[in-house]
Amino acid sequence: MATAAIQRSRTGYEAWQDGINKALNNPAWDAHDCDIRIAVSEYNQYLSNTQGYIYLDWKLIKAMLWVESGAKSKEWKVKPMQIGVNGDPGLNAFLSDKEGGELILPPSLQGRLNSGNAKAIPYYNIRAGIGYMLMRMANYDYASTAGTDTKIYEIAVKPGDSLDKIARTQGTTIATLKKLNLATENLRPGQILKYYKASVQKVILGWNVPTSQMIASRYNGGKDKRYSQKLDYALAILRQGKGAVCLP
Amino acid sequence: MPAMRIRIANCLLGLVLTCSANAMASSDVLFKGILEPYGDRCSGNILIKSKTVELKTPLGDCKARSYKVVEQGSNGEDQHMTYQIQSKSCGFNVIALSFNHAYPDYWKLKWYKTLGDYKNGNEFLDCPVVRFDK
Repeated sequence: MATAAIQRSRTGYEAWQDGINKALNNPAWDAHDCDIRIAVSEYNQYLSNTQGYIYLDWKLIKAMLWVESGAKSKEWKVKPMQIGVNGDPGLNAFLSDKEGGELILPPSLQGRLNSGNAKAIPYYNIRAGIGYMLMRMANYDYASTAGTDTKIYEIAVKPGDSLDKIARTQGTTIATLKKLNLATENLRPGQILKYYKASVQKVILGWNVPTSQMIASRYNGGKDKRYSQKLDYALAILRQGKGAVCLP
Repeated sequence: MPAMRIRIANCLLGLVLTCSANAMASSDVLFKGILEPYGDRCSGNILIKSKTVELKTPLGDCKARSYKVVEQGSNGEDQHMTYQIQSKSCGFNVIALSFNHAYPDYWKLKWYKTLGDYKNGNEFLDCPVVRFDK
């Protein structure tokens, strides 16, 4: 009677902890180990040349999988990292080519990883999840980069034109128009503007350490208030286990 | 002839007053920039005056809202400033502008939904901005 009362009073978090305690050395919970190790190695190798890159520990990703889904969840065999679930903007952001994902995705995955397979196949879901997490850990800046066509062009300003409109239509940037011309702030019809072809490039400036708090904030988006606590707990438990044996 | 001189003098005086008014107006501008078109959400204008911020982007038109300075500083050529908007109708609460001399083409503008998000470094959008007041 007393035991039943104690069991009834256990919180959701405590019940979750019970499940994680039982996961240790349970092969079902290690099922993605080898895939995670390979995927993390792919990202580490590709991003190691970027300024200040912090090598990712594959066990941190494994802990994320345990928090995000876990072997008892039906999602474990579909979307173990939970990126791409309904209402989650993360996958689209990662694949958008404008939020930094294009700088993160290793060449081996470019053209292969897409929205469809990331939502259906653990191999891709894990890679999309790692990529999105890394995308959110990076700090970026922007540069206006000249194209291969180095010719200087001229264009006459028409009524209703704006720098924004001219940059878009002429394949250049506002930064280039400002650099090559005086008095670009207030355009007047007939004014001649010089430009060369240019585009905006996002560049990686550096990296934030992927702590459990950072991952909770930037990967989970603060949806689960206990996310960082769960991540720390899962990591501590799984570090006690051996995990799956993977081929070298 | 004297009437003509008076008229010219009035014109000159008018010009001086107009110039002074313009100078006063422009001195009130702390930052004026155009967002470089990038992706679906980066385009528009930003204008920060001593008491108000205006931000027109595809996210919405946030007109002349008062603000509080959360943070500002510089390190050599690098600069940053963060403002908390005193209105809930803009869809964001905090904006931060920063300049890194290693990438001098642009200032970077970041949006945060809350001050807590800013403190956690959890922006929901950033865009390149070409500065035009300097």
